[in-house]
Amino acid sequence: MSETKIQKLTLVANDGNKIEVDRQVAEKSVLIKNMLDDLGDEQMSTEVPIPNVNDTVLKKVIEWCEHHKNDPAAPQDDDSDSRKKTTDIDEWDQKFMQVDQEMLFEIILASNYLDIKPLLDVGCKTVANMIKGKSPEEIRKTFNITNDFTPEEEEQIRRENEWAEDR
Amino acid sequence: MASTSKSKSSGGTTLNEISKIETQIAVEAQEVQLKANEVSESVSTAGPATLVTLPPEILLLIFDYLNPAASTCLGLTCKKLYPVHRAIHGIVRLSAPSEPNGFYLWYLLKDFFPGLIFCEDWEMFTTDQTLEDLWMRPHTIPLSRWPHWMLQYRGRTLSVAGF
Repeated sequence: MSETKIQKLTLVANDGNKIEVDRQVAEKSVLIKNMLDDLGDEQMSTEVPIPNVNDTVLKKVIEWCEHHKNDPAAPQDDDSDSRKKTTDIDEWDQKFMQVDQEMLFEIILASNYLDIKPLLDVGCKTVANMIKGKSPEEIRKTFNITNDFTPEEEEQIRRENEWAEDR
Repeated sequence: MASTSKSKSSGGTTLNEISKIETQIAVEAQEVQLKANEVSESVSTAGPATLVTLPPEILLLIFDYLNPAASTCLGLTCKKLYPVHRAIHGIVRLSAPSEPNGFYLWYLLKDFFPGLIFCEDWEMFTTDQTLEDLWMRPHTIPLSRWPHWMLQYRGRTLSVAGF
């Protein structure tokens, strides 16, 4: 109705840092988009607190949203099966995801919280690609996972999967 | 702090004691503050984000991108991930191929079966002795366990081998 549509939003990270972004960019986040839709422009403050995300991660997420702001909205149909099988990632996204592991998981958590499905997908695909073709021990080394199975539990696993002969 | 209080209290023991108590209180207050900081930090971030600490719904998304063999390998890394893998894929055969290098699952899992050898016919890890028996003394192995291709040599294998 009113022509005073908000064009810029200020996102406030959990450490208080403010980042100004175009509305179009911020709306890549379904959480923010729904907030804008629900509250309407009149009642909407242009400052949006993002309490679960710190400044560094938020900047990184916004960088992704900037680059992808003109992407067509992801089809929300249930063709998810065909989409899920492939772990191909476009070149820009691959470079974007070349970060240390902590940042990678922070991006995944932030995109989950902000509801940015395509970014969440890219993050999960990146992790999946780091897992593929590796043995359990290699995966543990890659992600710093501690093997917490007892010998008895390992024996149980070998048995219940019918991987080894009962002797 | 400590040195200044010492010089002041050179005369009486009581003064010395008071300053001691004062510094003790200060130290304790500092410790409480530190602990409070720790708590608030752990509440807000719960330590650095890692694969294993991801919430279950995100772990499921990652598992979704893995084929059965890769899912098995991830599941075998620790107790938290194994049930996720089992819920999705159940029992995965050791002949399942992994990508992108095309290794079979049994090859990626060979360290999980110390002292055992993979028998392709049975798709199972087994002992050296059992395999030797299968080849050299097949009559000691129940027929139901004979590989298909071996059954056609049933009578002959025995006579040729001289058993």
